[in-house]
Amino acid sequence: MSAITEFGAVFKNEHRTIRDALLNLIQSFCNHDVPNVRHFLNQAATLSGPHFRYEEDAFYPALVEVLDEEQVQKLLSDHDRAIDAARNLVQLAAQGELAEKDAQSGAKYARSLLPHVFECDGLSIIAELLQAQTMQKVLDARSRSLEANLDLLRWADTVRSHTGVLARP
Amino acid sequence: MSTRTLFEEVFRDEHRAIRDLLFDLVQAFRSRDLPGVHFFVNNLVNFAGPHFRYEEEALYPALLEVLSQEQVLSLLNDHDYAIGAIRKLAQLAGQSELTALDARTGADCAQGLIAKVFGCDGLSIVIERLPDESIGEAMSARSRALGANLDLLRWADTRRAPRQWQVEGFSAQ
Repeated sequence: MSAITEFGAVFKNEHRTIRDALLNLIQSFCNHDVPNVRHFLNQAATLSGPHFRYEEDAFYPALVEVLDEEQVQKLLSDHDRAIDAARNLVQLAAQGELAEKDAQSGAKYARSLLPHVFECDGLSIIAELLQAQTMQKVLDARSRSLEANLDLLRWADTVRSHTGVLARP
Repeated sequence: MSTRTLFEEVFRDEHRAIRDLLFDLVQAFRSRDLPGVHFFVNNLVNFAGPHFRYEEEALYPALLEVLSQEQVLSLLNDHDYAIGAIRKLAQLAGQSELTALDARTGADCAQGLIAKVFGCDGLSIVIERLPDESIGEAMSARSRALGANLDLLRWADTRRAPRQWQVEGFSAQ
């Protein structure tokens, strides 16, 4: 299997898993079901940590070959917003119980993450235009991220804040 | 091949075709190649018309099963943006020559549309969660849109539902 085909398959499957964790999280907030809120939030954070990491370490820098810098910066800003939403979700999940207002906020934060998932998934049609060698490097970065296995907020608070691959404005 | 699989394939292939037209168009503007600009804009306007139409008439309303009304309205806003940008591209392509500023404006405009194409293509992961019936309706709407074969600007100027109708239609879902 070529690096481009392999990337397309794993990228799509990761988005599917994150999508399903988010849809389950929305439902758990709607049901005021705190144990499941924690379960699905943990699942989403565990899956998205390595995913965001290899995107920023290798995939987004590679996209500069075909997208303009402003478009790639927008992808990074989307990550910023997703991380902020995840922080708000963690705060809500830490509560002993969820008031109606909290449940609605939680469902809203989780739902706000869905467009990030589908917009990110669409990048696979841009990845098709990159060279196999570039995509192999992205797959290698993915392997390293999975090995390090930092959840989203741990990665954002420790590694991400200290090593920006792309210059931020 | 199931209707779902067929829909996934045509949806992606249409985005690939639009993506490639846009990259070619960016290049044609950068080279100030007016015949090339004219050719690629014309193809873009023709190709995007039926695609936008079936998305708005069948796919976007179906997405309300998974996305919020606000998120689906945002997709319609993206279409508004794209129609405005393609109108500008058609205007530039209709000129007898391209100044350096026109060429840069056209290239930026076409490049800006690429983000809308991959954003739209990613909807395939949301579409996977829709029932077979909704996919069947989207395929039928696609066949009707291809049959009517209105280019993007003609569809936008004559048949596209006004936003108020679209919102009311969503509320009735």
